[in-house]
Amino acid sequence: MNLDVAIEQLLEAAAKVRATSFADDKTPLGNALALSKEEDLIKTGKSEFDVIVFGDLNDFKHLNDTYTHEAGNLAIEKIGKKIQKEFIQKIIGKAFRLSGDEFVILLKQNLIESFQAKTSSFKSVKFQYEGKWLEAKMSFGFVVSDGKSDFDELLKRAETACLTAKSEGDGVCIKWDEEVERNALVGFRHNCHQCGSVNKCYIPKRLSPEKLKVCSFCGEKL
Amino acid sequence: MNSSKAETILGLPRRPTLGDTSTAALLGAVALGLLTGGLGGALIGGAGGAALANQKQPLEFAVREYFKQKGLEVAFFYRAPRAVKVTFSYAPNAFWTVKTVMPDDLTNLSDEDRDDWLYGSLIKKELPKIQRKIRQLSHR
Repeated sequence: MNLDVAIEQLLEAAAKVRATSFADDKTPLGNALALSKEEDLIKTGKSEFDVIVFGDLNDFKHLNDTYTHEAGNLAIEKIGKKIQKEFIQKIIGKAFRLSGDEFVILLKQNLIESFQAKTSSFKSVKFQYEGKWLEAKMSFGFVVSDGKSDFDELLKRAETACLTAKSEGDGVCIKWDEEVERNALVGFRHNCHQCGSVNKCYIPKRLSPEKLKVCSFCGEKL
Repeated sequence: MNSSKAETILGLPRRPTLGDTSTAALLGAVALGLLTGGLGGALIGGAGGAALANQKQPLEFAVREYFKQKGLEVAFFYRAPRAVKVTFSYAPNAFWTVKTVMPDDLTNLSDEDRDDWLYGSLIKKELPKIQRKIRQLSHR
């Protein structure tokens, strides 16, 4: 190998090392570090993106618990690849895996319709694992930047919209607005005095937890 | 056990050496962090060719290379001190996980011998069992 070729290959390897530090380990998307870089641009108004999408897998715990974490990791990988294909290559957005089964996608406002037209295809992403057909399912929430709210606030709104979308079904996508915020679901944890189980459920923010009367495990009064 | 020069360990094949690897695969491995520390540094720094060529392929690298040769794509590689687990794709959209765990009575192995055993057991004992299962399923 001559010196020029060796240098070229090493530079290529160095570029790959740099790219790897911002790459997610399970999907072809960016990682949380890459998102934080983009976040800095959004905060200073230098980003080309003004729509923040939040999505996470539905029934992910069931997939992990029933078919092992390896199957769960494959679901994450399949969804990551599909996001890459549908939203990065076709709609020219940027996407990241935040952690676990949570994904963030950044888009330009004029491409929202193209994005929404694709989300229903995330209702069921099938793959075969150890001879069984399994499916990864996802719902989305998104928010359009108002130019006043900071990135964390926008992300929280997109997450709230996503939670509402999940309650409506797989592949559903909901835009955040005041109405969505008013009816937002919140996680509520409570102990059953009868069976001792710890129950977690999601109820609309406007309802008080006192309205939950019955343990979902044993059916006894709470 | 001092048998690292033998081609097998307890009847199982040992990991190949870096000398058996293509330059492109080596550089790819450096980029992905599969060749780390002294090994990757030595490669970039241009360490003596013969010394480097005689080094064993790191376990993950060796496993990935073996699967690639068999036309199987490694999706995930999981490592524990005495176990290795690999999720791989054997057909479009079809995956399986193969693992090997070192028996409790197998002790006193050096780190190199332990990695050799895990490699050999995975590719010669465990992977063929899974491949048989996959063949049976596809004939149903």
